[in-house]
Amino acid sequence: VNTPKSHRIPNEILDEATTWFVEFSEGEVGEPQRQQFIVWLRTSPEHIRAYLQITAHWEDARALQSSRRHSVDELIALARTSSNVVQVPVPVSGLGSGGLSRQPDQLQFSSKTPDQGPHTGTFKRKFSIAASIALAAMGSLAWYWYTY
Amino acid sequence: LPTEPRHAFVAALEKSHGHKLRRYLAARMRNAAADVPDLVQEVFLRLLRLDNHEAIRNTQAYLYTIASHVLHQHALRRAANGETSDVTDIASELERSETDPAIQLEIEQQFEQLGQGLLESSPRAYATLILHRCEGLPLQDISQRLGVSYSMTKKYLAQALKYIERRLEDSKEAP
Repeated sequence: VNTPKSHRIPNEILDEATTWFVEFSEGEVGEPQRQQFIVWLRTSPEHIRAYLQITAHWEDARALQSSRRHSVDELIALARTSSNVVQVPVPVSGLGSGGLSRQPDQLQFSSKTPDQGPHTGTFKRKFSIAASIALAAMGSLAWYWYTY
Repeated sequence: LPTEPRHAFVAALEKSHGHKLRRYLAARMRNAAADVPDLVQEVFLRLLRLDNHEAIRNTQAYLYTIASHVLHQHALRRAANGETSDVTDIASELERSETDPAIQLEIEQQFEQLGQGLLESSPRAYATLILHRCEGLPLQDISQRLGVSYSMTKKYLAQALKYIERRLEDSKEAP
């Protein structure tokens, strides 16, 4: 398979890059883990690219401050009430259409849980507004199972 | 430049500019499409040559230092090709990327859309990112206030960063 010019970072690599980044930013990486990280980085340039990209997003994410509309307490309340609810994605114009149908399942299911593969496929295929309520319930259970 | 002064230069740059340098490196690798494979490939090859013991001692800093070296040499090559570039340009470009209102506005607009999309997709990931990145709340505190585990909060943050990457990829792929 030829690599497309603006190629997407493979899901697994992106999962790993974000996980490593969070671990390092929390400053809790011991020597065995650092060794694993070096091995991971040395696996391919794609790993390095993914890690540097995530670093850039972290730096740029400060810009979110200017457009945020919620206080700390409001954000906490918003997050708490969203517990176990799968949000139906609302299309946002101007940032392309390809990702909109993919984002919810990427957020709710991780590629690190191979058992959920078939569910993810089903989720993708059958995803529609009409089915979203039933799927939301299913997704909540899977999400809950995955996260706790 | 001989190895030592160059190393000193990059080390000084890393020390004085910290996050700006990291952001600049990644942004360059993100934006300069033609350069991306070469630059990342070069970082990769250098990382392979690096002594394991050294690499493990300070992994992240090493990655940024190597990337800085690569970028520095890239700047030298541009200079050799007659393009206006000088080693000091890196520092001035760093400053510019941080202070240029047009660049900042562009990032803010882009992230306004990203933030809105993330809020709709996953309020918890959004809240975690904002509270941690913008408010500076430790993830431990966020986890307590959300009533979830610390490891869960780390996952929310990872998801938020992943979401940003995917949306930016989508926007690049869109015609």
